[in-house]
Amino acid sequence: MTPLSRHIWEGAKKSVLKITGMSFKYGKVEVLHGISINAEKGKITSLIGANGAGKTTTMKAIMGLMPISGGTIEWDGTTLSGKDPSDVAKCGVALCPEGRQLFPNMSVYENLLMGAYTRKDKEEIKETIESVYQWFPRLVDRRNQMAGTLSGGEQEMLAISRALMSKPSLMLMDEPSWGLAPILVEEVGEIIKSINAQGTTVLLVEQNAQMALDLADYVYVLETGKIVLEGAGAEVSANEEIQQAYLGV
Amino acid sequence: MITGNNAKKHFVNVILIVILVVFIFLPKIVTVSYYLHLIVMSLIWFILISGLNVIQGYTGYVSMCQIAFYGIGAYTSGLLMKNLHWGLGQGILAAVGMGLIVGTIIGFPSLRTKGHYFSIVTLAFTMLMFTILRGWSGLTGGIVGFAVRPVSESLFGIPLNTRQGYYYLVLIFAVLTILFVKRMTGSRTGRAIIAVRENENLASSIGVNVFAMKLLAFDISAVLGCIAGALYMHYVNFVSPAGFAAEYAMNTLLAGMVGGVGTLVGPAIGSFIVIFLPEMLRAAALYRQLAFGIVLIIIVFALPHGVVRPLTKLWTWALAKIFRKNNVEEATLASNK
Repeated sequence: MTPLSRHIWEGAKKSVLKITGMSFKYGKVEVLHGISINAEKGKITSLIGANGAGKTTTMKAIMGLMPISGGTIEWDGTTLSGKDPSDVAKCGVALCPEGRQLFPNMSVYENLLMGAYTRKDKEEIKETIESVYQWFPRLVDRRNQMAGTLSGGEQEMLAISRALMSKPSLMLMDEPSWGLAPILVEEVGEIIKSINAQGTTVLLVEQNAQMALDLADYVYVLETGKIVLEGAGAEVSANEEIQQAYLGV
Repeated sequence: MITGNNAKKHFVNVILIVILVVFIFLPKIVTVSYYLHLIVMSLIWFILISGLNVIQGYTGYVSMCQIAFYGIGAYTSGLLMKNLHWGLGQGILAAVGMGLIVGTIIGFPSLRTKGHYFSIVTLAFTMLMFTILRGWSGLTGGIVGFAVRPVSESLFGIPLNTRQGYYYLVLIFAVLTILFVKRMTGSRTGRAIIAVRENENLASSIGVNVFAMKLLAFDISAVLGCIAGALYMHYVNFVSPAGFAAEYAMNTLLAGMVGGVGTLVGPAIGSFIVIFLPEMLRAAALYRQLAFGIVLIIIVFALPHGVVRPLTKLWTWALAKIFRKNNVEEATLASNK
């Protein structure tokens, strides 16, 4: 695919998440070849691409779960690359990982408490739990149930809620629509919008390109470890190649 | 509010108090001194296995060196008493300190490995410890070990060099252990430790310093193991390396598995089974070890999560049955913890 309009997004200067020339190796095989991503504060930035393009690897690398082999990652002026995931979390970054990972043998309530691990004030944590319950009323009935016994949709809601519990300033969402019924996908989309509306910067990784394009202010297209296209959501959606490859138009 | 929840809590507390009272009067009920001896040993093992439970049950790292900590605790307090004439209390404190030191030294390299590798590294440490205890004859008395004089302290007026007196001492430590583990698992740190077991990557990405938590859990297991060792030392007043060989590492694992790790009560049940079962099988004479093995295999096959699992189910079922009327009310009224 030929890069189309590689224009410089006017927001790039005030970009808050700044990934420059990041590369990553699995053993000797390089799977990310110096990618650069900028995510502006308070916006939704999407990263789309096929299976194996390196989307999840990118997310894990930002979180510090996988040490990168080159480049830098900066969030709000702090260098994240090289930090332990627990320290990245303390910088206000939260990851909602692929495949809705939870602590299966802990209750819904305990999962939420764990989400607030970086926070100390018990009263405030309780308040956040209450507001999360208002967002996801279904979790209230399930609060003493083991997380592993929830349905797929409920688990995704819990995974998102848990990530919200740390009151993150940057939310990394990896395939939140994975394995969900279409109606739930729509619901998750609404939730992402509301999270963003509250001022959280969102970096969204999706195979569901339609959803990612609809939500995003700015989109990056990742193909076999390289950024092949970037642009405003509407612009990328209008691209014929994108329509053929990802939207099935 | 008066809900089923409160009534249930009261009921559970009453049962716990009854159990404690039974244990307090146990020396009066159990008149055969030998059985009291087995109970004391079971309680000491309960402390030992509770330590193992913290690293294996709650953190998910199968440790094969709990028996080495047991030995280190025993030798530490024993040697201090023999050579420097330290008392029981000082001996136990020294064992705690030793547990912290050795736990940290062993934990640092071994906790960087995972799964089976961690088990093998800790097993290697147990074998190394055994070799040192046996080989360093000048200090440890080598293969024959050494004896110390009985403790001279007393508890509530009962001299500790009697079986009854020592029973109460061990009982106090066992109760403290269970309270400590309960307190810990309910705390923020305890939840972080359990989170490591549940999903290490996820735990670290929500801000848990995974390595620090693992090391803490390992240190706790080492300290509890050393306390159990010191209590054992001053109970039998004799120590030799034989009891801390690698084969006994299997017994600690068994006690954990049979009872059920990751629970408060599992280690207690497992310890009583591992101590009492061989005695019950005395009738099998020559085939005792064989019978012991077979019974344990059957238990592990039939109850892969330990004896505690069906018991907990029975318990929740009974509670639900007793408080059925209040349950609906509770579900609607009770707010979070």
